[in-house]
Amino acid sequence: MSIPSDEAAAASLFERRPSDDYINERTALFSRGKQASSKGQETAIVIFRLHQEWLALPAMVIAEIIDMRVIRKIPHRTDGILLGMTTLRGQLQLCISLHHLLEVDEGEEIKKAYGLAAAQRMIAIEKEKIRWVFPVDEIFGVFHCNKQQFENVPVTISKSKANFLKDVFKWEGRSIGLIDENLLFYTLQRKIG
Amino acid sequence: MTEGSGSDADLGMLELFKTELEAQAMAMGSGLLSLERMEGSDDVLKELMRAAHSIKGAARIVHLETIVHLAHAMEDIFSGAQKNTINLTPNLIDLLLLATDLFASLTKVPLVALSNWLEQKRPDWERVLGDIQKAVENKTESEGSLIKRESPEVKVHLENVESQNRALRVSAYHLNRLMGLVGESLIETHSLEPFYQGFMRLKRMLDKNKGEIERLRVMLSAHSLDLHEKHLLEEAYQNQGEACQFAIKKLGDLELYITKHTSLSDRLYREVLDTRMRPFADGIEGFPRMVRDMAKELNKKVKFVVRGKNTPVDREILEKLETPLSHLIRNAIDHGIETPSERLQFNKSEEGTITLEAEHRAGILAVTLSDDGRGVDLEKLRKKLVESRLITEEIAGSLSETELLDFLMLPGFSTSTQVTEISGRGVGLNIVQNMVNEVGGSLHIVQQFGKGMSFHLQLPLTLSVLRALLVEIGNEPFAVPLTRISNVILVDSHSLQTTEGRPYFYFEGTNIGLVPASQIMELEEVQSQSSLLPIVIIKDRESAYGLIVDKFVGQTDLVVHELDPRLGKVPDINAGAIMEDGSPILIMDVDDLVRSIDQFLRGGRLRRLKTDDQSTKEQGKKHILVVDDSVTVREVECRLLRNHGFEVETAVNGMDGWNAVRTGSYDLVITDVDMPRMNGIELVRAIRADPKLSHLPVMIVSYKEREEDRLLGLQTGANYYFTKGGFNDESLIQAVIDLIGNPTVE
Repeated sequence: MSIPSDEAAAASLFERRPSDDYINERTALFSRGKQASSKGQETAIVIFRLHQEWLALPAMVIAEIIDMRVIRKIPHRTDGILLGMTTLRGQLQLCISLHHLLEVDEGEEIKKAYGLAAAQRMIAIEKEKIRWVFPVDEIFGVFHCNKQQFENVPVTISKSKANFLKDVFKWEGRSIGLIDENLLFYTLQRKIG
Repeated sequence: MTEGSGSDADLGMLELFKTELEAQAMAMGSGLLSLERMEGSDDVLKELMRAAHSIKGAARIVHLETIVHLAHAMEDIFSGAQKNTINLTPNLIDLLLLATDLFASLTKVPLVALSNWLEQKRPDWERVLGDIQKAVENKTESEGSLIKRESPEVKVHLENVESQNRALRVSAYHLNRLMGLVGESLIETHSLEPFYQGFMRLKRMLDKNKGEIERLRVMLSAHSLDLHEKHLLEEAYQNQGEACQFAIKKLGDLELYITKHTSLSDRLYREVLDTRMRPFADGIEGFPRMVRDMAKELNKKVKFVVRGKNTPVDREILEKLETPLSHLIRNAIDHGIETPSERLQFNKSEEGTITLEAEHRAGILAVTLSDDGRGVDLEKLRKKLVESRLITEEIAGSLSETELLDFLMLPGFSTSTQVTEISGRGVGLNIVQNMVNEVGGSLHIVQQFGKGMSFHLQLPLTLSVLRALLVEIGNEPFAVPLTRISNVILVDSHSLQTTEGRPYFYFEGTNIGLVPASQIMELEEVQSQSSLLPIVIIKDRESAYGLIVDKFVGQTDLVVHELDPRLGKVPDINAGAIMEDGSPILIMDVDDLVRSIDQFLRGGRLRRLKTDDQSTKEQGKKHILVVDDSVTVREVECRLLRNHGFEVETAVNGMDGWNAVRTGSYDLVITDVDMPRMNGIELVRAIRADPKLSHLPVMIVSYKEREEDRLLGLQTGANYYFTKGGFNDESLIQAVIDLIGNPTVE
């Protein structure tokens, strides 16, 4: 049995003229020219909640999001910011309290409103091989947002938290604070390292 | 005056300088190599300029003029190269690399020997300096530019790599990650077992159903069922039978899979653990030469034999073994082996033999060092012990050989009558003992008077796996290394006695003081329900204590993980580990714990002061932030300002400084200009642009002396521009006081 091989047929298949519709569509697309691309302005962020506060971090520094794990206290060391030690992918990691660092307090009514412990997760952030893990009360996922949506941090927010926010933006009717990741790593390193 | 000596440059500053020089020399070396390969020469030249510049500045502070000159000459070359007035020929690069090597070699010299070393090496320095200066003068020295000539330097590196056997360099970081993943895979595999058990239960339930349907069928066979009913029953019976068959088959598959997978994970795990092993020979490379040199010096003839060169040894243990073994060998040559003439008198061969042997024996690593020298004269040892008032004559007579030999390990005790260069200070054996203790091993001495002596070290095969007792303290589990526990008992709280408010109990002939672990470790106290107290007895050479824990949990093998370096040394804790269920656990540092208990009993301990909140700055003092990438400059400025009563914090570059000003509160920022990651000018600009910081006074301190640099600094918003060239303590302080007033807040 021979394998049919007709070069001419193959060539005519590959070199057939595209339909006019297709040509028009592509032409229109290319002739529009490059739009002021919004892609360059877009940042991927991860939105999460600490008690009643809605915050976000650039997705770039998020190494992993995991279920709540056991956190072991470290004698003589565990204090407000350093919660202790936890494990991630078979390695020990330092676990800190972002709640405490940003001074996000928990009120009774908040507990009632958001009392879902099942939504709790842990976020591992990493930059230049420095890793920190902290618990959050809920995660909403990764979002792309446009830099133009960012607003200045209102001066009314408490000083300690305001220091860590570089922008504020609106998402689903809520105000979300974008944390300055450089400052976060820097501060953790200074306070614990 | 000799360079680098005297009190004007104190040792601490020199030490800092060395650290900085080391880093800069390394940066310079790699910069030069990439210049040679013509990679990104503009940026590289900038980096090199900065490195030379930093070295110069730092060397000036510690008054090492030779280095100032050399760095200065190098700077000239780099700046010439930037302006294209100097051609960086391969020869010139060789020369610069040579200078870099000189810097690097300086960092290896101990501080005390530094001035001598500099004096000795002066000709080298001057030759390199002369050559470099000459190169700057004959700017036109042309010998083909730096194009395409394979550099000899690079070749040498390649050869080195090739000769390095078949060992691969793997970063510790990756190895640790691999360990972690393998560990987790093992944990996940273990969790298959409960899953299997669950499946078994399901199968038993199916079997029970089958039995019931069977019974139903028998019972109903007495009744007359219609055809349809009969059919249904028959079908149910058959289906159930098939389900059971299927479950049995799948259960078998699952079991097989679990067995295979478990064995695979176990092997993988062991294999990864094995990567930590190196052949014994790797750790003892220097010894044959040492033996040869020492024997020659002492006019003795010594043969050095090594057995078990290929015995795999944990690399950490191998590193730790080097010093103690070298002490033992020195001892053996100095005190053990006799002179050739003495040996002939005793009918021994002229040449003495020292044998070092390593082998695995029943799960431990046995290292033996033996010599065929004179051994120990026990009677003389007894006498010596009595003379040094360590024991009474009476006791000395009753001690066994092993007990007598144990005294050799006492710090400061030596049988040698004279202290020689080589040994006799009585430090050696104590070091050996300490190392062995540290890794949880044991040391035995065996000797035969006139025939020789041998030291038997029994060490764990690996430091990465530890057998430990799990206890609970303050609702948290902790692991105590089994080798460091002398006993574990339950004591009835009614049988305790107290003196001076401290509980103790009588155990094996001694009174043992009791302390609650939760108090020592600053953890929650848990009220015990039972009157039986779980007690772990730990001890060091001097004291034994009973540690009251909340509960004994069990015994386990743990893979030791180093604690995160960010934590520094955590009191009472040695390392961490991950338990079988994947949760973390901390391993106690028994030596440290004993010290903590000592302290605690000696009148309690000061509660740790909470100092983590940086905003609680010292009351009434003005706060200054010093930003500079040179550690030496930072230290000088810090000391100066602190001596005048200011509170000072430091940042290592512009970005670090920018982060610091936003989180702290400062009265003044003093910054350098040339820095990696955001330079001083950018920092000033950022501060001025921030509404909260725009009024913060900023002072620039820089080597850049040109008027345009000064203007740029001031235009950007600096309140003061200070040149380091005329670095003068008084004028700096005066400038600071002019800007922000006296150190104390009025």
